[in-house]
Amino acid sequence: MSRIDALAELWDRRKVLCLCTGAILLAAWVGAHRWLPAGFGPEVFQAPSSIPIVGSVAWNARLRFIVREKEQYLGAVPDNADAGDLYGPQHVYHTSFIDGHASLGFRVHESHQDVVDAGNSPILAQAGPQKDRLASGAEDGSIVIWQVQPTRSAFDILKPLVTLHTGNPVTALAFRYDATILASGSSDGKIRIWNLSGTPRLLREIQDQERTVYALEFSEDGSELSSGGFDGVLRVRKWESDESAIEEERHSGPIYELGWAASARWDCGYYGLVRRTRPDRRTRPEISSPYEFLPTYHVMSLPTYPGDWVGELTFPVRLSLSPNRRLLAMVAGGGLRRYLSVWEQGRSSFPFGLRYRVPVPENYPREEIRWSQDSTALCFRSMKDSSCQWLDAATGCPTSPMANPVIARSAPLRGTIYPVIERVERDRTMLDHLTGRKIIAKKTFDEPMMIDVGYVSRRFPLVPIELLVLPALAGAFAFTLRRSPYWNRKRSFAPVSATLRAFFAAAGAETSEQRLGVLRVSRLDSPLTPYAPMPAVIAIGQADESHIELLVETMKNLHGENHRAAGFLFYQEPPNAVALLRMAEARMNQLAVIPIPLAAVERMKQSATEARALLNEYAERYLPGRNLFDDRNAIGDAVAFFGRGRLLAKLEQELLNHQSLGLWGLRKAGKTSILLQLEQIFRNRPVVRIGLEPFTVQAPFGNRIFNEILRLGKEASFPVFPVDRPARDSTVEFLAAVQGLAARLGEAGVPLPIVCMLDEMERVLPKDAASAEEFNVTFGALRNLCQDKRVMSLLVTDLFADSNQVNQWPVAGAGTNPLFNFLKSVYAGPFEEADTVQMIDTLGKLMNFQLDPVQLAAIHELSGGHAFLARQVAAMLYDRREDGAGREKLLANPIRFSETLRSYFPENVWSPLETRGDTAALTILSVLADGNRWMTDTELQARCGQPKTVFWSAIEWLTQTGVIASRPHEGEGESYRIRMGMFAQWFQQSEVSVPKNA
Amino acid sequence: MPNRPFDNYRTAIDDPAFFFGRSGLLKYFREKPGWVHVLLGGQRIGKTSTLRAIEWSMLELPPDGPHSPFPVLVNLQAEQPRSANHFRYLLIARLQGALERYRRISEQISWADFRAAYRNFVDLFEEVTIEPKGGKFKLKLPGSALDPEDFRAAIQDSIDEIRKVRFQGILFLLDEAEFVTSKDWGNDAWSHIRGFKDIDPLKGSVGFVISGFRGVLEYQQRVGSPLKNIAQTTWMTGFDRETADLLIARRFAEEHAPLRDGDEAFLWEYSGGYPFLLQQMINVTVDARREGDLSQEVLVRRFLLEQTQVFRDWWNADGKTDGLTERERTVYASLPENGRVSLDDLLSRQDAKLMPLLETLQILCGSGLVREAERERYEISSRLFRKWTQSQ
Repeated sequence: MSRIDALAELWDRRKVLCLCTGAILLAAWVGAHRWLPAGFGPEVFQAPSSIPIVGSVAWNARLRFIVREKEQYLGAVPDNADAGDLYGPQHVYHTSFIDGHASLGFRVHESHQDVVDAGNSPILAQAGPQKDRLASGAEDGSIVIWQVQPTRSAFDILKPLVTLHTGNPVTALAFRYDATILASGSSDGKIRIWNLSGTPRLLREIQDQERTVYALEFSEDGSELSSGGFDGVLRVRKWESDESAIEEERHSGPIYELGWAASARWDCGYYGLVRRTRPDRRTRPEISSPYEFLPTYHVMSLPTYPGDWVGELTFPVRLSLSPNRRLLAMVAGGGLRRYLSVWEQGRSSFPFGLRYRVPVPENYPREEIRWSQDSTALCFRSMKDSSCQWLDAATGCPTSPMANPVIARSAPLRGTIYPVIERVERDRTMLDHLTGRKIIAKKTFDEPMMIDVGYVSRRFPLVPIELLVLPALAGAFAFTLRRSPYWNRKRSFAPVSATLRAFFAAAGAETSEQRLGVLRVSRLDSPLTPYAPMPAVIAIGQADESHIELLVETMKNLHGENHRAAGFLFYQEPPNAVALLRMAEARMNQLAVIPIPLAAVERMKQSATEARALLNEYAERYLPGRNLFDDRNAIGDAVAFFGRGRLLAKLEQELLNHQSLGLWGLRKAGKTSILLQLEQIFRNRPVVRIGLEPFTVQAPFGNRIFNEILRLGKEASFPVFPVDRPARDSTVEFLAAVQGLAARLGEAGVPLPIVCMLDEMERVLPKDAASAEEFNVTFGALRNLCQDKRVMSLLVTDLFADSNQVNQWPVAGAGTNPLFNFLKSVYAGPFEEADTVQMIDTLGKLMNFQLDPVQLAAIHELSGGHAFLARQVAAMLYDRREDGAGREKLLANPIRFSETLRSYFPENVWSPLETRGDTAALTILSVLADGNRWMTDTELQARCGQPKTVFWSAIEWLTQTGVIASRPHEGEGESYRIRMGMFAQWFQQSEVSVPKNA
Repeated sequence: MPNRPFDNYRTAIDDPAFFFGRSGLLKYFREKPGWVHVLLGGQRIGKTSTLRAIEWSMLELPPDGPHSPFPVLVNLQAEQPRSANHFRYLLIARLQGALERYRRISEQISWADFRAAYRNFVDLFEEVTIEPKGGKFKLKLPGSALDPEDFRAAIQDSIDEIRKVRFQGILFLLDEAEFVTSKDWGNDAWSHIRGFKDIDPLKGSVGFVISGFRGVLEYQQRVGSPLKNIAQTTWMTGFDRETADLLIARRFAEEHAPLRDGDEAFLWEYSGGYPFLLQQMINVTVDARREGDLSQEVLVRRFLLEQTQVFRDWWNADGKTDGLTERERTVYASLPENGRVSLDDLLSRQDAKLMPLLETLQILCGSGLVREAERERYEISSRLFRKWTQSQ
């Protein structure tokens, strides 16, 4: 079944579920709009958050936080936020990441026409003679090299030149002075040297650090590279050589930044600031503690560190390097007494010399200090309400951006943020270069200056393209579903399913439809009780392997993998060979498939007793443990019916052509089974099958046959003739009634002729004058319907063709036989070897019982192709479970080991001929069986000594029924021998003889 | 002499407490209730007792357990049906009677007390009248006769009734079926059953166990396909040693007679596990034990004295009973006194053909006089009968 079929079925059976799923999918569609190409959906600025315009503003690409420093204000951005970095092609705000936390923006400074590392990100580097190269590193391991292109506006344009990939989060970047060499450090401690001249390429990888690299710096001449990181070792190396570091200096904590100021190199970390004058590397490094707490505490405001420093706000030290790197501000102390110290570069031998130290006003926020972008003022910012208090960097006195024009000029309001906000306010769409998503930032003019940060989303109603596309897609999907073969299958399954439900209900079972074509049956009677609930799979048309696989799968779903289970297969046409193979495989796995023809169900759905009996019959046949070879009843089950394909086709054609037939054959040759199969073939036609076993010539029987035929009329009011009265009183009325019945059937569109099948004719062959009259009247009427009225075809079965060959009944006063020479004779002969082999092999496979080709051929030879005998031989082998020599012994003389086989020949071949007094046939059999060889007709006739007419008549019957075989003789005529090997064995091992006075 | 049940264990056992063995046979019939079985066995081999056991074993099944068919035991010799229609009528009448008895017993006694319930079931007589018209079956034929059509309708209705008492289908147990085969109308009766069981949609719900011996075995349907073509034939045999020992121990214990070393082996050897013989020999042994310690020779003489008439009927030298035929007597006599003989040896000794020899051996085994100890290896079962034949 295709997926479309499966979806159609799902829709048909679970509408509510489908609607809910559709709604969820639609919601998901709406939620996932940000993954759609640009242009889909109206962009809505969602859930704006306000950030004080202090410091830089940025988002991380995971859309969880907006600016690390600000997260306590914003909280988590909604998961479906379509946010990104606050930058665009014309005004760049880049996002970078360190260990998944830090994100930092930077922007073009209006006054400097330069890219300013406003947040002092360690993963940004700028270089080039005109400072026109910028490198940014990101958490995803990418490094973007930017070209800074000045514009006339307040912002430069950053043009991405190339992206490098390292594979690990980038944690440090450094350009050589000429921007042709880039060093990158990553979280795995690896330092990579990139050559950016020409096509960028990786020159070298240095791995002498085990932990994250936090700081990299080239020497002024570019020959040496200094690095520091989490392992707290400062290394200086000639980066162009493979030699190890020329200088290593271990500190007590991680190194977060290093650099050059004037002629001294400095580095800093938890341990404080260290500077070393250059070029004398042997000079003992000075460890400077600008304030007594410095060595002890975290350097807070230096470049963004890994780790969450928001939680350290109560620490008494605040330190911040001015954007122009010339001033270092530190607030130290706790409680009411706090001091601000400002160091200035170049004031002493140390890179930073103390400019002044002043107390910080008590009402100033304690949480954070920040430099204004022009390094002229210090902002004391509250993390609670984002309020700011300002100190003049030059004097350490309180000031205000508005009040102090000096500060105001350099305050973030005008100098940096304000132009950004303005530009944003003009609804510029900004693009996240990482995700390609757009964001919008808006500005409010309240104090303090805030930036509204939000994300773009789309909501219903969707933009026209979506309004068109979505319904179109939905329509196409619905159309596809409606065109699915599922609906045709449903239509075809519906009546069958209803029939089966009625059938099971009649049998006292409960059913529910598990899926199309699969019922779940529970509350079953013994012997099926232990298997309940059982699945029932419906096969419209021929059952194939897919039906078996579906049944097996359903059985497993119901009972688990390794439990024995059983399921029904209701079929219209018998399973094909592959399906039978699958059934056999299933049986090996303790999964019994019980195949039941739908025709059998349709016939008895109204009767509870019959329904139970039918289930019982098939269950007994197909549940594990049954010897499937040992089937002694007539076979209405097409799975167990083999061969006869051509015979059935011939019978069907002849009967439809209004040719009445006589089907003759040995007992147990399968005549009744053939009738049952024909009944299935003619299931859409008027067909009546009458078993004559209960009939007797001692009493009238014609009216019973008439009544049975007229039952075809069902609800129509046709006469019911008294069964204890002779048929002669009813024939006229019967003929009229059948004609009326035929007319009604014709009007109802039921194709004629009525097929009337009478089994076991010998039960009604005349024995006296009365029964002869009854026979003649009854069959005279039937012949009239067949021959004159052309509304009926007759098919009778018998062991001998007497009903067709006897003209004058050997009874005094009896009339002539109306069926004399009226029937076309057809014989239910034996199987060809291929049919025998297929039957035994297939049944054997169903029981996991294998016979080799030699044994199969032997079974055919022994049975002469008689299905019953072949099956009984196989049944004996199956019961005895011998192999090798044991099986050979059994096959050498099967009648020795099976009473059923032993009694077959005397009771079904010899005795009927003996009773009939057919000396010719008995003599032929005895002569052929005695010699058990091919014998020419001349020799045979001579040895039998029978009159020619009688001899040839017997030869014909024996040949046609398959007791003896014939083949052309080399000269003229035919040769004969016993066809059933076991008959010859039986004859030779018995004491039977041809009666002299037969 | 104490008054022993079942006419001194001469009649069929209809009390579950007194029935021994046959568990394999009972299981077989329970597993294949919808089939036609022919149960063959010689005189007093225990066919009727086995049919009784089938009956109670099916009635005994708990209502909430696996459903069994409702057993209907009909003794055809006792019922003496007059025609095929009367035969069918009797089947339905006995079915209805048994069903009525079952209902009434169920009201009085719980089937948990199974033995008491079954004893009541057997003893209760319930005459059921099947109304010809206007009754539940709407029969067309008047009087005590059912034509095939009415029979089918009655079966169909009965199955529904039976289902209400939690049985599923019907199993007819036809005892003494020779009575039918001996009648002219028997052919019609069997032919009807043959057709019914072959193609009728109800066939899966109705089973038959047809019990008899030579009359059933040799019956050839003159017209139509033989019933045996669709039947499974099962032969009765004597008890196995284990069952015989159990029976001996039980009988001695019940009669408070001391069981001595060698008693079991002695009784097994001389009875050959033949149920009737074994019971009678136990009677004699127990009675003798009350007189004092009698030697085994004395006991054997008493056995022989007591069973002479029975053995004479079995041996059937004058051909007046359905005992052994001349061929069977010859084959029996050719079996060795001790030990086993193979089929091939017998073939060569007898200079016989295989088929008649197999048939003869089958009948001898079914009569309980010979035992197939291993596959195709035979031995005398009852030394007592052998001793008697040697004296003839």
